[in-house]
Amino acid sequence: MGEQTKEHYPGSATLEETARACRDEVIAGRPKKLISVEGIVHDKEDGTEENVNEATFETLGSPRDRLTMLNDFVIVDVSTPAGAANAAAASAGRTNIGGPAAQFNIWVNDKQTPVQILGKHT
Amino acid sequence: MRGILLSVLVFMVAFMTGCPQGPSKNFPGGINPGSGPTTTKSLVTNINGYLKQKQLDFDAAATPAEKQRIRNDAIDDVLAVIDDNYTVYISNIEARRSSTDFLLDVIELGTGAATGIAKGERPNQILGIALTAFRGGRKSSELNFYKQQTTPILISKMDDNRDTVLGDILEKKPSPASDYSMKGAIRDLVKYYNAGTLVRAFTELAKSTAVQAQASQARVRHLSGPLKISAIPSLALDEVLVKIDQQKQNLIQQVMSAEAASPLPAAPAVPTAPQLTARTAALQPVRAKLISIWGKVESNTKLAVALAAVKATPADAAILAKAPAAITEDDYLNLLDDLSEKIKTDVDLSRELLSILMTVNP
Repeated sequence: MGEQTKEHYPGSATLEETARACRDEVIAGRPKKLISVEGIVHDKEDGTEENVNEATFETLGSPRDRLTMLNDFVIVDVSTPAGAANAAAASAGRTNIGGPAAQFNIWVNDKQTPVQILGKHT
Repeated sequence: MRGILLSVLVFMVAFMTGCPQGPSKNFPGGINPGSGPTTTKSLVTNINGYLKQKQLDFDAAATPAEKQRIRNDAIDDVLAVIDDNYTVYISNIEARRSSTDFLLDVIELGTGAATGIAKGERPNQILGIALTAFRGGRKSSELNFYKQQTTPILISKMDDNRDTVLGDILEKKPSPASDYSMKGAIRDLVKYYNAGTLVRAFTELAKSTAVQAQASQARVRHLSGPLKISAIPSLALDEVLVKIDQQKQNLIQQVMSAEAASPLPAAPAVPTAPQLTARTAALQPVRAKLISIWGKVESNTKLAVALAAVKATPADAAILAKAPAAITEDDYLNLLDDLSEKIKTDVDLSRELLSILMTVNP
């Protein structure tokens, strides 16, 4: 198993922006695998709080993994039945990050939202 | 076998989610012989029938004390029937929902376990899609029938609402008929009945949404201390990074195509000199590109700071310490990856690297 690294993104971001940040982290530098994204709260030193999405990546072993790694992500809000249906529709040809039907709670526009992250290689 | 399993599933669903026995809706026999209908299947009709006669009795009563007695009797009788109805109602909700949830949990857990057992990507994908659709249906049911609230929360809210109204009624009961009329008592009884319904529980819960949201936020993991928050990459930077990725993929494909065109025997067999010569010759074009790319990176002044950071990395320093002929194609690809890691947030430097890649590998 490769080295795991964490990146933190603003919780005020939209679904598309967080997906883009994850994609760019995966393709920039050595090839990486997206493991998970989790919404957390950062207690700042000045006593205030900020919402942050913590993404965990695993560095892959060979530069050639770039040819097969998942590098295109779609994050689907599954907090509503319609969202769950969208996730089911979008899952064709994509791999669900975290395993089949796995969900993550992340910040979307500073609101806790259950999502499914679907990735594919392009 | 499939038929038997299906029959068992259908039987379990019917058995575990079947309609439970309904609550008592009737007034005890002889409680008010002159009243309207009090034995229909509708609790509301029965209460209305009973109160209609009590209202007539109240109006006909000669003294204020008699009016007060009639009113309080009506309150006590109606409260008893509503309480009886409510007790059966909540126990039915709890039993029905627990059974349904248990069955749905069994289905969900079973499917989840099956994804771990099933071999092959396609079956797992189908199970994953089916599981997502199943969860969507379940969420819809939770949302539409119970507004995603747990049964104990709904029951507590109904109990709370009922206690509030009952407190008001008990406070008014000693009042004379002139201060608390029969009509006022009927209004309070209707309010008491409505307080024990799911609809009113949802309404009251909606009022405390903000409090619930805060409680929910409190469950989120907290991190303290300094934390580097990465900015969301701009669309312009994203576009450049994707193009760099495509360039790298293209170079890797060239390396792999050259290797496929000049196969070597699998270990432990030792490749012959002609095989090695053929491999070197096949890799020569892409190797020349990689050497040229790295040469242009080293001579680019804009990339100097990032290049110094790469050279300070032990793994990369070890690669660059090798004799040029000993540096493999994968080594060059790793160096390029590490360089792009150092400049991934800088759109101008990323464009500089992309420009070099596109010049050498158009």
